[in-house]
This record gives sequence, C-alpha cells and structure tokens, in this order.
Amino acid sequence: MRKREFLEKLRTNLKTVRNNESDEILSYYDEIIQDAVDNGENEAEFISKLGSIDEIIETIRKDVDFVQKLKERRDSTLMAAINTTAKILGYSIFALVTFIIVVVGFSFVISGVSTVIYSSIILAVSESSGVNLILMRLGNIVFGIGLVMFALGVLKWYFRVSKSTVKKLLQEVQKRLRKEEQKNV
Amino acid sequence: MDSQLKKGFLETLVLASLKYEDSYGYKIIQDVSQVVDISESTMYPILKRLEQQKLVRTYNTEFNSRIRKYFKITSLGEVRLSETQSEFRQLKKIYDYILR
Repeated sequence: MRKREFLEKLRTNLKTVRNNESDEILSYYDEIIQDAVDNGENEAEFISKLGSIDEIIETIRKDVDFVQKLKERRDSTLMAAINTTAKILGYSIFALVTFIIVVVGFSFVISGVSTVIYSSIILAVSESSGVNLILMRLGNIVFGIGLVMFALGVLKWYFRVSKSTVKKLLQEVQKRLRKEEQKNV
Repeated sequence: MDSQLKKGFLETLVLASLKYEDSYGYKIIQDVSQVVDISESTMYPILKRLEQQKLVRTYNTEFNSRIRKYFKITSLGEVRLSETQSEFRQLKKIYDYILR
C-alpha cells in the first residue's frame, strides 16, 4: 500500500471514532512515513509494518476511552469539591445572618428597656411630660422590635437544629402509617 | 516484558529521549526502540498525553519543504523526569539486591 492510499483509508476509518484530532493523527502518520522514506526505508514495507488500519483505529479508540474516563473522574471530584464549598459557604452565611439578627435584637431589647426605665423615672420625678412620654413609647416600640428579632434569630437556629429531628419523626410516622396500611390490606 | 509494565515506562522513556535535544515522531520511535519494542501506533497516544499534561510542547519546523512537528520537554516535564529518576534509583537498589 502506498502512502496516499493508507492515509485515505485511515481518514475514512477515523470517522468511526469519537475524537476531534483526526487531522493531527493523519499528519502524524504522514510525517513518520515521509521521515522513514527520507531515512532510506521502503515506503510500502514501512506502511505494512505500521499494522492494519483496524489495529491503528483500535489503539486510538482505547486511548479516547481512557482519556474520557480520566476526564469524567476528574469532573466528579471537582463537583464534590464545589458541593462541599457551597455547603460550607451556605452554612457560614446562615450562621452570620442568625448571629447578626440575635445581636441586633438583643441590643434593641437593652436600649428599649433602658429608654423605658429612664423616661419613666424622669416622668415620675418631673412634671414635664410631653417629650418624655414620646421617649417612653419609643422605648417600648424598640423593645418590642428587639424582642421579636431576638426570638426570630433563636427560632431560626432552633429550626435548623431540629430539622433533622423533625425529618426523622416524619419518617417514623410514615413508616407506622405504611405498616397500618399493610395490616388493613 | 509485561505490556502494562512497559506502558508505564513509555512516557518516561520519551521524556528521557527529549532530555538533551528536541526530537520528532519518527526519531523518537527509533530512539526508544533501542530499549523497548514500540509501534508507531502506540507512540501517538503517548506523545499526545505528554502534550496534554504539558510535560512536552510542540512546534513546527520546515524540513525538505514539508512541515515536521518537533517535541520539546517543558520545565514541568523536566521536574517529572527527575522525580521519576530518583524513584528509579531507589528501585535500582531493590533490583540489584534481587538480581545479585
């Protein structure tokens, strides 16, 4: 077989392999055949030494599969890493937000209470009521908001913790219900 | 020799053949053939993998009014080669002991 015929057959057969480097493979064989000839080897003889087209295709196919598997494995490791990072990030944000809500709520409670106490003392001691009455009501409102936020933060944390417990409880209930159903059947 | 064992050596053999000078497909096969039997079709995926791992890089040069693809070992390839060499030095002690 001459070079042109060999390369033509190889080109046709390469279409059956899922790879995007057909041109590269063809120029590789083109080059080594040329180099062999330049080195004084007989073209037809050298080509017959290359093995059958089927063998060449089989080698390429095996390698494509190998590279594909390697890539898939790398991808799955990457996905696992991304998932873990996302989880850690999510949990950190959750913890931070909960912490901020609790802290702000707590400070609202403290400032609300102190304002109420302060303004009631002033009210009790002096006669001038106008401004202090407003201050006392304001203190009450702030205290209320603080209490709500504080409770919200604690509840949020509590739900997070008890979610798994609730889930387990639900599963238990479902299991019992299923058992009952089976009994009835 | 066991073909799996041989395969493991091939990448290193090619890196070693490129250690002192850049080379091209046909010549690399000839060089490596001095120590192991290797076919042209086996060499292609090895060169490709070395290139993908950035252990070698390629460049084209004109030769006899045609293009020839040359392979050059990268600094990463040199590091890999010297790592393998030091592993082999340890292995050599083991082999020497077994074969004495």
